[in-house]
Amino acid sequence: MVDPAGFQVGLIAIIFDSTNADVFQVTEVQPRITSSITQRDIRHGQQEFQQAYGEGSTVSLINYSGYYGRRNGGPVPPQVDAENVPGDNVLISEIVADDIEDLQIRLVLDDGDGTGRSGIDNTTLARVRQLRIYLARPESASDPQWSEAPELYNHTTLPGCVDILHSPPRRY
Amino acid sequence: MLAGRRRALAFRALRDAKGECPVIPRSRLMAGCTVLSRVYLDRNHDRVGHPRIAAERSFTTFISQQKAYVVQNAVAEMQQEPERRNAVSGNGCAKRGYGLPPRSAMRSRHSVGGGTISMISGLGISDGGTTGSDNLYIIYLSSTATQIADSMPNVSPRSRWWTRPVFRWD
Repeated sequence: MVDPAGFQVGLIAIIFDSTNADVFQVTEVQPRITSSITQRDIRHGQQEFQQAYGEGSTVSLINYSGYYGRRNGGPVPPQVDAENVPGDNVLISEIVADDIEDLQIRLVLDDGDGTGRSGIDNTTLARVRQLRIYLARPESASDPQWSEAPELYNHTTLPGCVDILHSPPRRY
Repeated sequence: MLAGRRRALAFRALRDAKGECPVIPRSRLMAGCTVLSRVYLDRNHDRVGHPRIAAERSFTTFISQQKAYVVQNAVAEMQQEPERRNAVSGNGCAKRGYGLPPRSAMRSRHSVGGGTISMISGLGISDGGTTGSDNLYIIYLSSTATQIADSMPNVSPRSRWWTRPVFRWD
């Protein structure tokens, strides 16, 4: 039996209303026949949702990719990886860019102020106007033309990669 | 006056000379010693000095070529890196947010650390703390969205809920 909407065990789906969303893995799909309509019975088996979603909340399969910086240490160059979840709950990781030692994101609000933290409430989320993505790449020498002060975002210290070549760049 | 053959190259300025001090003629006896010393230096130039000059010239050529190669390689890397980044993320960026609310607090077991993600127009952001990398997620719907028919009884991970039929079962 095939669900035309594509729900299958192992796939990644999302349920959301106007304020909250939860990403989950489908663990069971069964038809539920009633006298008037045919329904799908979908079960999830992971963490609790943020809330008990009400009638009319939307559910769908999603495409989902995550990007993050990885510091390998030693002679292995740092890199930005992408993790995709195409199905079966298997995270497939691939290198997007070499020699990127830090990835920071800054949310710029409507008043020009910014925050480097996520998990902000929906009121603050509604005020976001820009996303600034900051990638730090190690260099063997400082750029004499660079006059802007280093952006720490919510780091307490400047990443060492900015002024020190931690590992040799990968050569192709 | 430095000891050495005529037209020989001076490697250091006269003021920096230490061992090879300027020759100051004194007596004949001392002059003889000076001649012996000059011969000794001449032999050094023949055996060491001239091959050293040749080696320095060849290494200088190699170093300049190597610098040019390194610069070309670095430029190629600079050009290739953004292209690869754009190729991978461009498709997802074009579709991000499709079918999703413009902003919501999203929680995902599949996020790094499994915490709550702030989702804005399909871009999910989670904080890496004061030392770690932040995380960026690109999310969009991949199938026809449907609605749940009844309110969920609770937030239990074992909860069972139903979707309204968009299509009939085959």
